[in-house]
Amino acid sequence: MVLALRGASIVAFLLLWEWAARAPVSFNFPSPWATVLALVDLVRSGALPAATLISLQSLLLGMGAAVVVGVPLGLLMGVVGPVGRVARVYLDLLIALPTAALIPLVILSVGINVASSAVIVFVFSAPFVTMNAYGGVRDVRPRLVEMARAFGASWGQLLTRIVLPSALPMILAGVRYALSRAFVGLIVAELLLSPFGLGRLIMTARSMFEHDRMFATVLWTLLMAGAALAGLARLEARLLRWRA
Amino acid sequence: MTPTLAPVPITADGVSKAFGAVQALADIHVHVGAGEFLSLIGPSGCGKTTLLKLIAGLLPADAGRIRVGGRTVAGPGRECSVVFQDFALLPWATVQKNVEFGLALRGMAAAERARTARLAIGKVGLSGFEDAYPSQLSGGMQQRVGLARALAVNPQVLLMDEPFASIDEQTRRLFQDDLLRLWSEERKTVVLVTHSMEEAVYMADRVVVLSPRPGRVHEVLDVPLPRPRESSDVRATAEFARLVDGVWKILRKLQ
Repeated sequence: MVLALRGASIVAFLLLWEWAARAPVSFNFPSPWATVLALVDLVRSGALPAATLISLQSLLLGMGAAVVVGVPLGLLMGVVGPVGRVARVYLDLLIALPTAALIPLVILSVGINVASSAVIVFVFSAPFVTMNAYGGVRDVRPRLVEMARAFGASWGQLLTRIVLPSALPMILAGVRYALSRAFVGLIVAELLLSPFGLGRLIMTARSMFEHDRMFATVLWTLLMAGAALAGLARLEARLLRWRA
Repeated sequence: MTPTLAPVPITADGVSKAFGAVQALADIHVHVGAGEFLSLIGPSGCGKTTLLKLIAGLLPADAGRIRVGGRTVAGPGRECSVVFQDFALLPWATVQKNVEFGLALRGMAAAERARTARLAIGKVGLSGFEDAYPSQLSGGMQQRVGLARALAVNPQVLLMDEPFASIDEQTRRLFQDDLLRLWSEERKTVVLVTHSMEEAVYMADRVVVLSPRPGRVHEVLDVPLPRPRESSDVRATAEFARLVDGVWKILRKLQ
């Protein structure tokens, strides 16, 4: 049932796309087939793999930092009430902020390189990791803390053995959402800030009116994001198999 | 495997505890002998769970002193294990890992921990369920995990907070008998908080009745029923009925 629906939705999407190309919706609108051909060409020429490698660096750097900083910060905010109440305001502001507006600031402070894209990826994703870790602490059952204390648990043991596993479902959901935000941040950064990686490929193709190559790169990015999210969903299912 | 340690006595001396303006316990004096099985009963709100938490070191007393063996209670200690009414199991951990929990906190090496936990799981009759998650077990089985976890650390004192309250009647009776059998084998000092008069009498050497608001020791009843009770029909005897009725007459006046 799910498989059939999934297949039908893909076919419907491709038909719509094909129609848009024939209509034509706009000048030089590439058909699905032309896009796939361009994609194959881009992979063969080595341009796409090279750009992907560069973009992945920024993505992993920024997203990794978001998890490494966001999870402990969120847990700290949840466990130490006053820290949470103070930090929460900044977090809300950070989420509400149109993050692209930060780009001039990042250029000034980090310069234009792969790291500056990573900074943008971090700013896009970290607030959501932090927010969910913070929220996850609310899922800690006080009774479990009491039980651990009765066995003489130290502060660190309470944190690693009770608080972290209790908050894990929320944390993982946050990481998954943050990852999709990270892809958005990556492309925004590479389009507007540092001319590297997939963003540059999109820009170049656009300026040459090679719309099929532009579409191909966007499609490739979507496929990557989809694969990463699916991988994360599987990891989540494994880590949370006790909930089945 | 660590040898079973000799049981220790518990003494509460003039213990008081208030939560804000509510005086939960006032000037409590209780002595539990080494290896004794004591039931704590009283109307709801009489502070019986609070007293248990004070003994466990989970709450500080406002006044008075509690001694467990040679130690004056100032926090949780290694002599005591607590069994909770709602089991307090880690939902993300298997039965095996749940029972290992206390041992892991105390830094026991993995192999010895696994062996000790398996032994405790066997004692409560759950062998074969080591890899199950709590959500896959019935309430009675979950509480058996809770008991195994408490026993695994080889405590001298077992503090039980209405452990059978959320378990159905038939399962409860079997579980009570298993607990009595384990107790006669391992001789731990047990304090059992309960709201069931039958359970209080059936299990204990003595029943302490607390009066409510503020909680005070109202009366202490001896239970001279012969042991082992688990293999005989104690519940059907006239003596048992008379003792339960005695507790009821006291509680009725306290309501």
